[in-house]
Amino acid sequence: MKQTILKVNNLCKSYFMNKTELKVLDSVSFSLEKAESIAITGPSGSGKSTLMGLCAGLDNPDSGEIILCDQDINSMNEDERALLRLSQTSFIFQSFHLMPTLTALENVMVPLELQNNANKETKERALELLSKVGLKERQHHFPSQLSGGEQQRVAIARAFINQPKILFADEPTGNLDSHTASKIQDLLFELNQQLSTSLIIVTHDNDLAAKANRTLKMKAGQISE
Amino acid sequence: MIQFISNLFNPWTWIMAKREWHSQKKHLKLYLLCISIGIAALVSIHSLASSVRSSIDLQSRSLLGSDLSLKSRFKMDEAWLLEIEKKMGPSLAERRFAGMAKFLNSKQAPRLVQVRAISQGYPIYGEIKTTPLGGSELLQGKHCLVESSLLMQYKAKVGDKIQLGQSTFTIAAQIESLPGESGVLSELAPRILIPFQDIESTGLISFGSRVQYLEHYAFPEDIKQQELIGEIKAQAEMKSIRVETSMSRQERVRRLSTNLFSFLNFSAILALTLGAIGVGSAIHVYINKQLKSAAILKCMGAKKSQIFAVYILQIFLLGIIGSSLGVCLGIAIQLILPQAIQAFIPFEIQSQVNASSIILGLLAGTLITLLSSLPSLKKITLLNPLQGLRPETIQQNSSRGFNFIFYPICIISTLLLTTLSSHNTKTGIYSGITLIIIIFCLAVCAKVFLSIIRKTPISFMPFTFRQGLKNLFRPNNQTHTLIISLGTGVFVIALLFLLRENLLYQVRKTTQDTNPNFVLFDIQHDQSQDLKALLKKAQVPILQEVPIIDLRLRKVNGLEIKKIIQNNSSLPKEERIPHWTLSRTYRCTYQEQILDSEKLILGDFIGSFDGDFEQERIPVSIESGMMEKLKVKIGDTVDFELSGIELPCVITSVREVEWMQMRPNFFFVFPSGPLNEAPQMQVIVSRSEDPKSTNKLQTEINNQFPNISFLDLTLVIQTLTSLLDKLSIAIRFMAGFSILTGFVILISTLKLSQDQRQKESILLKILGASKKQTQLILLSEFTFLAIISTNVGCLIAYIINHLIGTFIFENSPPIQLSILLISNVALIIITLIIGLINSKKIFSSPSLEILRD
Repeated sequence: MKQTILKVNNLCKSYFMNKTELKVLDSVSFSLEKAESIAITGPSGSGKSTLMGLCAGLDNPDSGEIILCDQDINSMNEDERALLRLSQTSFIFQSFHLMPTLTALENVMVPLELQNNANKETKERALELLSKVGLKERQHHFPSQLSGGEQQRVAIARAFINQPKILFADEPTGNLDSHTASKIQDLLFELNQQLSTSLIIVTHDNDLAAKANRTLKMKAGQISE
Repeated sequence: MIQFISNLFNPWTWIMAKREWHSQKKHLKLYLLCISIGIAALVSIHSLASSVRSSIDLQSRSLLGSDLSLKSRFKMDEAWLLEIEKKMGPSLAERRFAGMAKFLNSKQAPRLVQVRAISQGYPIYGEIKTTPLGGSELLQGKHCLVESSLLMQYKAKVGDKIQLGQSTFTIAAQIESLPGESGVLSELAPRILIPFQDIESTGLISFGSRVQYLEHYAFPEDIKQQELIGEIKAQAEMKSIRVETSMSRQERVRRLSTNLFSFLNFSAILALTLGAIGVGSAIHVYINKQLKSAAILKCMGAKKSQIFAVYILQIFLLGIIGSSLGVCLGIAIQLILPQAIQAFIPFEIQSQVNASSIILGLLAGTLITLLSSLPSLKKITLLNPLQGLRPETIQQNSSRGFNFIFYPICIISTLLLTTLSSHNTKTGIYSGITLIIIIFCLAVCAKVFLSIIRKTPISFMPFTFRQGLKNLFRPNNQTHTLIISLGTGVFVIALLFLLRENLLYQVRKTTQDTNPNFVLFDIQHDQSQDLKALLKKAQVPILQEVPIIDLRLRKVNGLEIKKIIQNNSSLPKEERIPHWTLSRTYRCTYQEQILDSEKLILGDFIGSFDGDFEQERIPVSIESGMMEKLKVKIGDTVDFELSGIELPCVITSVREVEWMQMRPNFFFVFPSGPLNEAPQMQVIVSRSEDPKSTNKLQTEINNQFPNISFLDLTLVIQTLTSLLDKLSIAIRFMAGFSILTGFVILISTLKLSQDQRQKESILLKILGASKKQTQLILLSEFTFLAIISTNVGCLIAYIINHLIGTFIFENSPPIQLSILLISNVALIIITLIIGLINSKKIFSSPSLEILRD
């Protein structure tokens, strides 16, 4: 039986710049099932990242409904949303965004440590994930000592450590060369399948979009499949 | 070089500099403050020092109250005084002696004061400032002028009566200031001025009383002053009379103010050095942010010299504007500062704006800004364009070759600055070296602390605390600089507090437990029995009773004192016997055994001598310090004189005396026998149970024996505490500059790393951290920063205080933890407030877009 992880209904969002209203999202609706992957493509400024931010509860929509893991995030306060993100979601960014003061291993452990769940098993799980992304030997290295591809692999390991139901990836291969990008894509989808994690990927990369189950195209704040 | 200069004046350079300046102006304001505070401190102190020096010159004659003064511990030769009078005109006589003042309207016990009996017409120059106005004119009949601190203590007012010895005086006015004397020491010995003709009626001058005899003169107009001064000085030296002229007093006051300003100047340069470190560190971050722009410019074909010109121009302007701001601030502070130091300056300070201080401030500020920016400028000039576009590939460490030039330049500049801003080259160099050592110690200590923290396993801590601690080590962090600057401020304040406590501890120790807490002196031989009976009735123990006999040195190893003084002038300074040891009056005693506060270190102490000293030399014991000064040893001979009788002595033992003990101590101790029948006065050292019984006893003694002086050591400690507090105000004021610079560096650091913090916080938020967790991480980061800075500063302050206690007071002070606690709490609170105010934006940023930069 299919299980809906994310449901978005009539989502609208506008920003004001110099008193001029800028409509970023205009009645956007879609849903995402368990283990399904969706690629969101579209030109720059079409509202892809805003949509992803709203889906993850990082900002409030002007109107519309977002049901994430059976919970209406619009009715939740900031800390409840944080808890939901911590337990059910993960992120991967174009610029990797690892904590510069932490080693690869420590970076991977952060989500569980935020849950105050850090124990011996956390470390073992982090090492297992680092091993899966091929970086076990680099566990004590700081981000500045890793290449871009390696940093993104650490970010992937971090994204999977709390066994999220949904993973948001914002241009995950945007800063990588084609060879490394291809490896990262494979790793992402492999883990997606292994762990039945749903994927939302914002990308300009047609190859990456093609690997997803569905592609949503955004243009002027509206979505089409 | 020519190319660089031509680039510097190229309009493009100015346009580019303006554009970059414009984009960074918010942050640049804080760099400006860093340097401004240091320059403000320097300018205010330098300018005030100039004002003080010109005030000294303007008020030179009133600093002494006369042109020439003679001062002696004994009555001066009348015939000699008459001879001087023939050349200089009549003198104005003054006598200074101790006495007990009893305020008749008060129930408080009498207090030991310094009585000054002055002749009508004194001071010849300047004035005695009083409230109500009138000064010495009010000293008529049985009127007196009283120190304001005394009036406050006894809640007395003008018109009240006081008893001095056997005489009663009406208070005519309160003393505000006396010519050439600072008010600060008057608290230790409050002054009461009475008319000269009333000395006798007090009955306070009797045998053995400690009286200072002074004669004041004005130079007649048609006289060769220098010749006359030389002549009088030569004669006075032989008679052990001190001569002071308005010029020599001016020089002495000048030296006093130079010493005070050397210390304040040191504090100012300390703040300036911290400012330089702050600017250097801030520019380092600023330039790092500009690396990409510089690299793009290079990729587009800009030359090395063009890039260098764009940035050096910005830094130069930064230095000029910061220094100008500092100069303005410094001039404003100069108007407040005199209030903090007026108590130590024996004349009125007339503040004035000083051009040399302004030039010094502008030059120092600009050069320091340029110098502290050198490493960053070097980095941007030698930048490989590709590295600029990928900053992570740039090596953070400067090349060794550059460091070999840069650090010596910094050291030389610091020495140059301390020398230029102080009036004595030696003091300037010493203070420069001290400053470098302090900063170096703080830097090393901070590095060690940080290295230990980095290597310590902290997995036992909750995540938020761990993350807060790790944030101190984020790339491009300024943690080390912050610890040095905040730590220096804490160091100065903590050291000041510890030294004050150390000093008070050494004094308090002398009155604890069984130690004496009051001393009675000026006891005449015939009063001794009655006084002892009174003490017995009051159940007060006599801890020590010593006879005191005034002796003067006549010969050392057979050589007349006159001859030794003459020989001294031909000897190098280190081989000379100090003049004061030859000309002073030695207060000696005789005793059968060595005292508790003394230790025999050489020879045999001989307690009694019944031989004939005309045939055989009297065996005496000398204090170890005096032995070194007089350059004598065991077996050497010293001849004293007692009222015309020669006492031939031989040194048979050497004692070490604990001078900090509040008991009578002596350079020379005679055996019981030869001096027992000599004219003498007694000193009794005792201890009373509580302040109430001390007061009662003091009143009784004063009623029965008005000439006996009562020194209450508890009161001395109270007075010393208040004196030290006054002294520390001025120093704390200057230490405040260092702390302030530290806080400005903290604010600028927070501003500069705001983007990084914001990104980290948003990332944590996306990963699921609650607002509380994000706040806790920031709070713990600031708390750790404050804790490390405080403890680095306090640690060095404790070490220095301990060294001073051990090597100077020869008594290790107990470790005072209160300052450590207060500093930690205070700095944590201030740092947290500054940190949180400057991090408000972090908590209010919701957008994912920030992570996309």
